[in-house]
Amino acid sequence: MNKEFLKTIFHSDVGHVYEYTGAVPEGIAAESPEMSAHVTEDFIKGHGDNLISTMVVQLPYMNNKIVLYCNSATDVNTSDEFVLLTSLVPDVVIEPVVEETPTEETQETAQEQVEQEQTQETPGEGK
Amino acid sequence: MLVRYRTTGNQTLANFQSDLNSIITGGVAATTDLSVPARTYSSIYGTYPNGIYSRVNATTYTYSKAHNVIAGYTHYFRFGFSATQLTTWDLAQSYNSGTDTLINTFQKTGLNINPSINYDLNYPVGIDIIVNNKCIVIQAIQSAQVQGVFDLGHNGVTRAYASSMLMAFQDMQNVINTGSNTGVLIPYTYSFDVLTYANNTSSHVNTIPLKKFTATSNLAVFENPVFVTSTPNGSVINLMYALYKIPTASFNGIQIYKDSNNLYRLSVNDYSILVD
Repeated sequence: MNKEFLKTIFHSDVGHVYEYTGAVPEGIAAESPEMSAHVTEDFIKGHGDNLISTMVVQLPYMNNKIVLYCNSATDVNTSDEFVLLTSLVPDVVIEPVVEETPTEETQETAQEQVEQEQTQETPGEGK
Repeated sequence: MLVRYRTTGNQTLANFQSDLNSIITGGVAATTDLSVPARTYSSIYGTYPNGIYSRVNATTYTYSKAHNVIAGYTHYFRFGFSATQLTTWDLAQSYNSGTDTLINTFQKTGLNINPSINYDLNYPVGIDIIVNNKCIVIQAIQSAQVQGVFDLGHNGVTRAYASSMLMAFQDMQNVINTGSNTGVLIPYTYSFDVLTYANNTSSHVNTIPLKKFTATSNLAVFENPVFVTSTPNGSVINLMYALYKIPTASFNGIQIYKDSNNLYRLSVNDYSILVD
């Protein structure tokens, strides 16, 4: 899933986002405080730490996926009902190494430099 | 109510936790109600707001705060501590008491507020704690922190998407910025950018009043209400309760004053926070 899109929801550069794959209990609307509580409780139960910070949202134009954000810097999920979608830590951008290929012009310039150096050395040879 | 919490250098974190809890839950009416190292130099202004704050867990420092006027909107906050400091502050939409779990939370990290500051007349800093029915603010300038949770008013989005929170974090160190980064964060509110609930950074809408003088040549300090807005919400506007814009450089630093209604205010960075 698009990391940048998830960042616009959770406004964070740390933490992990999981998709909830468990069942939605009968009588509970997916986008309701009860559903948020149900999903959060499931996550906490698996993780065992009730002091972590989480948020549950439903994504209506992504097949109504229910996703949970946890602000932990590491992947702390232990439950089968959650699938890791992404970490929100920005990807490391590796800049490509650009190899310079000599053009005709640069080759000519290099040749001229060599010739100039040779000419400068010549007067000193007789001393 | 404002407690200007000033301590001798031997203050412990346990004392601070106990004092902070007492201040929030109404157990401090006089400085003698504070721990011993905080009694000598602290001072108290205003009165405690009854019926707004409750501690909801005996172990963790988790509290409920009812909205000052809009019924049915109670949100929750929690303080986290390291071995020596107040380090995190969570604000959550709701709470499950059975498991002490905050639901839909945003956590402010890196507060690093150390309660052990030796009071000095020449450098009289400490921790200011405002607790009223509209906001709770903690100011610790020595830790570069002025943070608060403020009530918000309704708008068209919060009426239609009723799970949206009516409280926001306000980082008062950010209010001096212009544009979008004025330090407002609503942890859970509907966003039309992503068509779901999300956390939301908002900016201020206000008019800076001018300085004018009265017939007796006294400076009149005008106070304008502060509103918050954000484009993901369709640029709708919420009133931010208890925060007012005052003329530029009316007060130097962080000062307490009384308004025309004889109510206490604390000024921070050309803003005024209602104390009572």
